[in-house]
This record gives sequence, structure tokens and C-alpha cells, in this order.
Amino acid sequence: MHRHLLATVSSLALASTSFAGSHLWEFHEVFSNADGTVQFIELHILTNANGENFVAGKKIKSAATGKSFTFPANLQGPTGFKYLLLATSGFAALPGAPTPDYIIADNFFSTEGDTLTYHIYDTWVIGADQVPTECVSALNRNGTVTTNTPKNYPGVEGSVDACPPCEGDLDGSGAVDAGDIAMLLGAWGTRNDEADVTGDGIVDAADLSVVLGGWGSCE
Amino acid sequence: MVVAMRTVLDDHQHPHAFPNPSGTHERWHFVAPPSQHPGTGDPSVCTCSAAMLVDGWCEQHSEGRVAGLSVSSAHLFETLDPHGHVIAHESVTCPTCVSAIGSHGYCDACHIGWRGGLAYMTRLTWLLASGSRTSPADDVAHSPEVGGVVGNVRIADDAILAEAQRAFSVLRSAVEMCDRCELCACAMVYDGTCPDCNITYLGGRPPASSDEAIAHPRRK
Repeated sequence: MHRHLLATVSSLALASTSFAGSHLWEFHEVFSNADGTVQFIELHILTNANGENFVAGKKIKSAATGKSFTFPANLQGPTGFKYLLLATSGFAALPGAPTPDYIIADNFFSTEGDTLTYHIYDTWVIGADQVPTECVSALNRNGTVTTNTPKNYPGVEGSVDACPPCEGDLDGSGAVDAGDIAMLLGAWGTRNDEADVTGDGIVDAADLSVVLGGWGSCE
Repeated sequence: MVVAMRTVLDDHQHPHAFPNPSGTHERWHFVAPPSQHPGTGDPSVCTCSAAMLVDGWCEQHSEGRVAGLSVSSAHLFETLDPHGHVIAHESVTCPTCVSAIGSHGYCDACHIGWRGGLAYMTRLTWLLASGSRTSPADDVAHSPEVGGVVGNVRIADDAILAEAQRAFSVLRSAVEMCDRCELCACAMVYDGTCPDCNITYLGGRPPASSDEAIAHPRRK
């Protein structure tokens, strides 16, 4: 049989059209404590774009530290207005922290100036000293500094204090030392609130145990 | 779903061909659809022929097609995003984008083109979306009546055609670039920055001057 293609083929139906990608994720907020053990990077989709699932293989990279994170799989469910939270394990352990969607290495980015990239889709140049490290404030993409508000993909939002009070430092000297022991013994058997570390209503052996357990510098 | 392909036959004796008004016969083939995203298709099925028609990706051969051009880099294919994105229009706050949605225009600030309600992430795919699919069997010569072609896409408007041809040339260069740096190739078609080489591209090349770069910043 002689068959000849005279004219083009034409498509009637576009198969399994999903009109999706991963282009629209962008950096939204970063946070770090002074030593970089508590950090998070938050990404966000600013519009109601529900098909930005295809992040597998895309990288978040720090130019200053050379560290990178590769998304292991695509996201599930609609993505419109969603957030992604990448954070250190130190962040994840803090009270008030929403569960990170992904764990990143300590000191993932530099607080001395850095350029963060998400694949080729987004680049955030962060100047030296732009990222606050006083344990509560975060740098937003618009350049403002506000109390940190990390939010994860399921939509859980929280806030952390990366410098919790130094337990046992009764006199606020920055270290748990003999001065604290002296203060505690001076209040022994009383209801002194400052020395009642455990908050059980009396200064006793339980409080002494906390002070001895925290012996040393608060740093 | 499937992709339907029409083959026109000059063998009038073909038992399964349907006559059409022009006197020739045609036969419809229904073929497996290509995937739109690398890694999501069925690797046991070749979808190359359909991919050629709908700018899809053949999982079996790890090859995509954009306006007929072979793109074997999954990252580059995804960056091109030939099918566009669905973004709820009421959630778009950029005033230029809002205007572009209605006019099928391009927002230079966001680097997003709008056509048919969809958002296109590269200038090339936005331009191609204005065309119609053709084939090598068609008369591809340019004429005022039918316009011209870019790859296997016919574009009627001369201005769009010229711009699409330039953008398609960038894509050809990007495909060649893939051997050296895949992310540079992506950045070339996206007007983005390669995170590995730290090179920013505009129109397929690094900006000639910082003034040029500043004149075309990404919104982000």
C-alpha cells in the first residue's frame, strides 16, 4: 500500500494538561542566630498558583557558604499561597517552631552577606549585617526586619526565640557560677521567685540541681 | 486522554480511510500522550510523535520538543514551560500583569507573558502560544497571508514572528549550552542567573552593561 503524508497531523486533545511547574516559588524570609545553629529559609508563592509542585531536583544554594539543598521529590496538593520551610535541626528543636518541611545544615547561609538562589528561578542578594542575629527578628524579602514568622507547607505558623533564657543564671551575669550559688543559698527555704528556678514555690534542692546542671558560661 | 493525529492519504483504496471534501482520504490515529513534566510519564511508552505536536516530553527517550526542536535537558524543558501556568487572575497583584492578562501581553517586570488566561514563564513560549501548529509538509514559505514559521509553529503576525524567531535562536543556543552548563542554558531562556557560574543572562546573553541589566530587572 502506498501511503503518503500529504498534510500535517493535527492534535485534537492535549493530554493530561496540568499547566504547572515550579517557577513561582520565591524567597520570603530568612532567620539566623549568631552562631548559625538556628536558621530557617522560607519560600512562598505570592499568587493562587496551584500547580507549582515540580520542585524535585531543584536546588537552594548559598553562594557564600557553598552549601546547597536539593528538593528530593515533588510537592503534593495545591500550592497557591503556600510556604516552604527549610530549617536547621536546632530550629526544629525550639519551642514554638513549626515542623520544618526540610532540614538543612547548620550555617547553611552566611549572616555576613550572601546570595541565595532557588534553581534559576529566584535570587536573593543579602547584604552584610542585613540578617539580624539577636535571636528573635528575621529578614523579610522586602528588606524589613520583623519578629520571625516561619510557616511550613501544611500552613502551620510559629515563632521562636533562638536565645532562651540561661537557666540557673540567677543574677544575670551571663554565667552560672558561684554568685548564683550564693544567691540561691541565701534564699534557701523561701519563696524567692528569682531563686526558685523550677517554679515549684520553694527554693530547695531541685533548684540547686538546676544551677549545678547549668554550670558554666551561658554562651 | 489521548492525542489524536490526522494522516491524510492519497491511496483511495485504503479500507480504513474516510473520504473528506477535498477528495483525499484521511485516517485518525490515537496515540499515547506525552508528559508535560520530565519524570511523570510512562517510560515504557514512546510518546515522541505526540510530543512533537503538543510540545511534550517522551519519558522513554528522555527528550522533549518545543516548537519541534529537540530538548533533551529535563531542566531546560521545565524552564521553558511550553504549556503555561494556571494562576488565579484575581490573586495577581502586579498592575502590569493585570493589564497583560486582558491584552495577552507580556510583563517585563515579572518576565511573565499572558495568553489565553495562562501565564508563560519564558518569552519564547509566550510568543509560540500565539501561533498554530504546522508540519514540514506544509508550505513554510513566508507570505503576508499566512505569516511564517518558527520551528513547527506558524505565526501570522510579522512582529511576533520576528521576535519569536530571535527567541527560538536563543533556545537553539541554549540547547548547545546544555553540554557545558545545564543551568546556564536554563538561565539563557529565562533571563535568569546561573547559580553555579553566577552569570546573569538577558535575551540569551550576559547584559552588555550594568545599565542594560538595571533596565530589565526581575521583579523579585
